[in-house]
Amino acid sequence: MSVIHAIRSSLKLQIVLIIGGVITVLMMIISLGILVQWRSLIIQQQEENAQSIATAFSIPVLDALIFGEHTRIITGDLLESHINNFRKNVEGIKYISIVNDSQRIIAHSDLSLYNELITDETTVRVSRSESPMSSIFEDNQYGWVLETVVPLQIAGKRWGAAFIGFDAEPTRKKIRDLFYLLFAVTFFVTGSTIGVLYYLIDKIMSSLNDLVHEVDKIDLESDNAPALQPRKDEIGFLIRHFELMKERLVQSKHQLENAQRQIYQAEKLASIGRLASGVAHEVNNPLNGIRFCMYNIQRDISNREQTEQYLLLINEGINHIESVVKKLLGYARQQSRSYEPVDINKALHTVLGLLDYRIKQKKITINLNLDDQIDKIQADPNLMQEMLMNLILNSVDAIEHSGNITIHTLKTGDNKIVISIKDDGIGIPKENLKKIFDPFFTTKETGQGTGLGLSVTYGIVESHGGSIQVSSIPGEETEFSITLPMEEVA
Amino acid sequence: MKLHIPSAMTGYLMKIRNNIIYGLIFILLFLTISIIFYKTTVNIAQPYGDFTERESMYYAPVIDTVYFGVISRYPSNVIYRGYQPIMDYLTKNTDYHFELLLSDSYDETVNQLVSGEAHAAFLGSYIYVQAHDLHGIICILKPLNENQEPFFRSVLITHPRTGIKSIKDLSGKRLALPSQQSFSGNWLPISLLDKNDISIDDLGAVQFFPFHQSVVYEVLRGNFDAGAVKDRVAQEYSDRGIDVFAYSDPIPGSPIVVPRDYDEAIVKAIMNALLAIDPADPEYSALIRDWDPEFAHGFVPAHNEDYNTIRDILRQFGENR
Repeated sequence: MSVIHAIRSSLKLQIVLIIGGVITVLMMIISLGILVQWRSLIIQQQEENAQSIATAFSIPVLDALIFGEHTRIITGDLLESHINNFRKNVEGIKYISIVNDSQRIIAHSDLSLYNELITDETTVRVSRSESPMSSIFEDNQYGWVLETVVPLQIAGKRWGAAFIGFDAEPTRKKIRDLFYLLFAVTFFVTGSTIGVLYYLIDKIMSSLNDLVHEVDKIDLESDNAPALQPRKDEIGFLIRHFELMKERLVQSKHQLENAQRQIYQAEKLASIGRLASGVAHEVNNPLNGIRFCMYNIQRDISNREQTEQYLLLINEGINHIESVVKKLLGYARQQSRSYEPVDINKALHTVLGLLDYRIKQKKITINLNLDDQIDKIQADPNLMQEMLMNLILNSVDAIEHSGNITIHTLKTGDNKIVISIKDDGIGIPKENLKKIFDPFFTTKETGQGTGLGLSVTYGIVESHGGSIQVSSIPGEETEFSITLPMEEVA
Repeated sequence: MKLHIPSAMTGYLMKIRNNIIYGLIFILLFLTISIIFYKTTVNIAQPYGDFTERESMYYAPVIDTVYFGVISRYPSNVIYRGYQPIMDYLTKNTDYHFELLLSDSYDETVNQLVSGEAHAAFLGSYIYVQAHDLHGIICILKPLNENQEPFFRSVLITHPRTGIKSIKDLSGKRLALPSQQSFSGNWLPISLLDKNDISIDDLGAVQFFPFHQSVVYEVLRGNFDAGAVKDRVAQEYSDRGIDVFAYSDPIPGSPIVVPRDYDEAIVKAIMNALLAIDPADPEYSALIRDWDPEFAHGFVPAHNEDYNTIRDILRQFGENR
């Protein structure tokens, strides 16, 4: 199982196994084809040689048999003499047997077999063959033998047959040598091909590994990330294109950040616009007070004590206006992102201060239940204010005529803080719950909202490593719950 | 002390170990397959293939055997090679099994006919005349030559080194001749010598040999300056460097004969089979390719009168002598 797993999990092994297997099988088929062909040719050549020799042997044998019929010479002696001479002059003959047409041995290299009757069925059959024939077999006495039988026959007249047993070991040796040669060639070619293949694939895989390691090191946050080592091969081509892709990603990231920043600012400006009436009211009230003080001072300018009191009131009113304007400017200022310790409770008070007029205008009661024990979190203070502004504004907008907004802050055991903003406004229909964080999604009338507030809030929470949840009962209440880590966000 | 191996080194060693394992697996598989193939390859045993056994009629004849005599004009092995195919043809095309009956001399063949040992025989033209006159032997067929004529010729041969161009040049030369009982090898050349005003005493030497081939070999060896053989034999050795410098008149071909008390059925069977041969027919031309050239052009019926030419020559020769 581990081998199968190893193969399945390694592209290198799969390629080597498949291509190596195909090469091995092909080489074996080619080698086997050559082996079979050459083996057949060697055997055929040996058989033809044997039959030629046997035919040459048979001619004087035949003449001796013919002459023996009409002369007084002892044919048997002549044949034995011929057999002996032939064996002396032709190498590799293990035995020679001459049988008559009654399958009785009339001459043999082993004289003890003289006059024996052949009883073996196959031998009897082949002794009647009309043409030379050969067979190869392993014999207990003679070892491997190539036996050739040649008929002693002229046309239809037959005197018998001659069997010559040739030593077949040289034939086997030739085939064995051929096998060893092909084995060595096949082993060398297959082994070296697979070895080279394995080396090349290993090199490619190790280049890919290098690429993966280099890719892992890439940091899109840093514009100064080290470039991958240039190469001239296909991996280099891949690296070059990867570098181009990386550049495009960085560029896209910058564009995205710019766009995000612009959206945040636009949404901030939009919320400022919605605060304008409140701000005007906050400024107007002290101005009326100042005008009243000025009027009384002018009416009795000599009354130094009264003038001093009014001047104090005027100064107080100017300070109030200055405070309001300062808050507004502080909220509206477009600053680059910076992480610093932020007191969420304080940020909530600041935002509520900016929304004071609208809250009172709608007769909304703010119930604050803030945990004094929560630590400052590492965050962008402007984005935190924007996040809280959007959520509280969303709650204010959800309440049509008076209501309650309850705000909780809480420190959790896992070093996080939870900010909960709950209103008893109109609520959010269930089908809209999944869409409210989508950009430009709004149920408000045209001009009342951009549809970006909650989307921007979602982005801010995400960028700070936090999460946001919403639950709502239409017509009863809506609660946004934000969880933020207290440690510094990378 | 514990040896600390860096993780990169461990990975490298693991890789080497894996590579060795893969290599060993490859070698093991390769060897296993190779051993299987090796055993099959070196086992070269193979039985005798399919073959044709001799037909039963040759191997164990169960029908009447006709023995066919042949005069010893050629060595026995030559006779078997040239005449046995004719026996095979007759066996195949008649209801009899034919076997050659060789002899050591011309007379022995005649005796075999007379004694009934032979049912038919190939005789020479000269000995036929004698056998007919003495024993009533009857000729039934005679062979055609390559021009489809029922004749043959005797020829005088020599080797170019002798410088013999004509019969007149034979004076003082050594002459080799075949059997004294053969027409072509004996009487005819001598009668030719008479016609050319050369007596046998003018010759350096005259010797008889049992076979026509022996005459050719003696001339080729240089033991004799000239010799007389049948044209068919001279033709057979034409590429061995012999020159033919004289031809006899056409002589009726060597007949196939039967004894006086012949078996009509056998004669009829022989004649029907042999007269059916048409050398122009591809079927027969392939069949008779291995026959003795003297009989490879077909046969015609023979009659005793056809051989009167020989009788005339003999009579003339006898008168001259």
